[in-house]
Amino acid sequence: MDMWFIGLIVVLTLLTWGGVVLCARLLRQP
Amino acid sequence: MTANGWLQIAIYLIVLLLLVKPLGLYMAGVFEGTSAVTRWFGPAERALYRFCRIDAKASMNWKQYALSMLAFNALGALLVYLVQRLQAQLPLNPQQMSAVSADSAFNTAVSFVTNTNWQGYGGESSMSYLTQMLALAVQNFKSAATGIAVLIAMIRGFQVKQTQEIGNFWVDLTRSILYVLLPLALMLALVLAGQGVVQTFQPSQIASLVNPITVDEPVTDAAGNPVKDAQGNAQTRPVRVDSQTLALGPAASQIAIKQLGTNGGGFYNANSAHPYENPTPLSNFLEALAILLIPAALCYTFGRMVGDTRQGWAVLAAMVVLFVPLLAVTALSEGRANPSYPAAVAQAPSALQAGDNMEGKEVRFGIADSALWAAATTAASNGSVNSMHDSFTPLGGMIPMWLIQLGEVTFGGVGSGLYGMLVYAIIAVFIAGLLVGRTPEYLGKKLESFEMKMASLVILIPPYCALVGTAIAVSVAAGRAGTANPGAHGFSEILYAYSSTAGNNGSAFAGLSANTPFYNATLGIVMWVSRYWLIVPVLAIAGSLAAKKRVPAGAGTLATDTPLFVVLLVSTVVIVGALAFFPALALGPIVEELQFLGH
Repeated sequence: MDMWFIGLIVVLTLLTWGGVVLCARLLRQP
Repeated sequence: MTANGWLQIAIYLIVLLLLVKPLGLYMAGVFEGTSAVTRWFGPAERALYRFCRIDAKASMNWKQYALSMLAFNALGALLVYLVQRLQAQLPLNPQQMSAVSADSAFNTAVSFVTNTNWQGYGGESSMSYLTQMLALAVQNFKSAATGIAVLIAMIRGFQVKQTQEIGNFWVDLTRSILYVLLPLALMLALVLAGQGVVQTFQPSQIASLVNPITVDEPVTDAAGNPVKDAQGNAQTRPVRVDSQTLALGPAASQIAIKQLGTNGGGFYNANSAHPYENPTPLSNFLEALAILLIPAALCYTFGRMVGDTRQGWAVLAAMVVLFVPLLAVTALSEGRANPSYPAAVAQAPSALQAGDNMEGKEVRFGIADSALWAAATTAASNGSVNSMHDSFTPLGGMIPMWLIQLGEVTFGGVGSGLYGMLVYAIIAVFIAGLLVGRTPEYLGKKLESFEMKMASLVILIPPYCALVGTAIAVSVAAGRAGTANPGAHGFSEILYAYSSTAGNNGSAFAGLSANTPFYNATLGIVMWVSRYWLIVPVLAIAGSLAAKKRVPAGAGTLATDTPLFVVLLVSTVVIVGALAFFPALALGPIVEELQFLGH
């Protein structure tokens, strides 16, 4: 059970990370 | 409502507004490094940076700032999760609490990291003293400081020109904690302890009742959901009580920061309705004042840092214009007799009873202080309570819910409220540009399609999370099982829960049994998404604005420090809030208010 919820925190973090990358691409800043 | 009640509310607002300028000025000095306090404690601050191997002089672009913030918060979530799961093996656990369940630990970890502080658990019955201090109270400082840091980065976006640098996340975070949150929390904790808020490592005490009583206890099934009768009402059973557990612990130190940091997570399950958490009228006044203090003062900090304090006053004026009428409606609504009681039941205030709708309220605080707290805690994304919003009249309960749904920008959370309001200001300026042909620029920065796309994300994600979450919960058995009431009120309980978590508020309507795997998981996801998926576009706006040059105000520039702009800003917030949530509110509190009036 712990691995499910720790995994969920990791997945949410990675999705947010992806959001940063997407916004940066949209802004066309390095 | 009595004249005395209105007077207390007026004094509260006056004291709050009097503190805005001195605290706002102090915080501007702290973040610009010009305050004397940053010189006095500079060596300690620099020692911290050396210890953590941080180059305090290195400025970050928005992407580095966002990723630093994200890494810091993700590690915080994992730490809070692990401390809860391992608390049975860790020290400072005099009640020998067992490990928190995995789903509840996930929910609480995300809740405290995101500054929501939604509590699916009862603090005194499930958390060790170490968990309360090391995991929850520490996170109260860190999540509040994260909000302030993001706001300061956004302000720098307006301040600087033609650069990609918006400051250093670690410096902003450290200064928020070291110079703002810690000193204020220390002062408030000492005063609260002086008022009788408990602060001890002693275990709970058992007291025998002189007169044993019988109370009605809710009946729950193995999953923790209320057992209901054929009409859908929650069932209770009589239980004889001949002793009472007096739960103790290090409460004052946690309560000070949970109020100041717009966190809201109480040491006790009853939050600030508990006499050990909020014992006197003075403690109630100070705790309520602490809810709005930093969010209001940050408006002045903003004006000072962008070089025009009138801009900060204009934003604060918009917040006050939104807050005061809604507070008045809540107070008036609770100052009504309940029409569903027989006429023979005396409900008017008198020397012998507080009167009006006192259900769910502390007799010590009465209507005025309960309504004031309810409005303040939902206007700010605090979420602490000194009365149970579930027992408010339908209209009186709808206003706190709507204050959350307005986007937590009416004061809002520390930092997050003001950066949310600045996003609304960007939208208001853009709308003015469309309506009357004004140049879409704010504080000398031209607003273009990228800023509008990011601003759209910021205003759309919370309603999306709240409404989709509610829709899922009312569609599945696991969601419906948690409500304590049938019909419109049960729907309100679910809508409030998802609105509260989507607004990172954390207060509960109290009737929902939310400590179940379904609610812990879904509400946890909502809290994460509506915190960080807003911070990322806000920082992206900051990065975009920082790279632009400053344009001098021209004939086509909309003045953003005038009463006209305040009206435009308030209208934008209200229209967006009303349009997004009105249909859902019509199914819950609005229809319930009509039933209430029909009695």
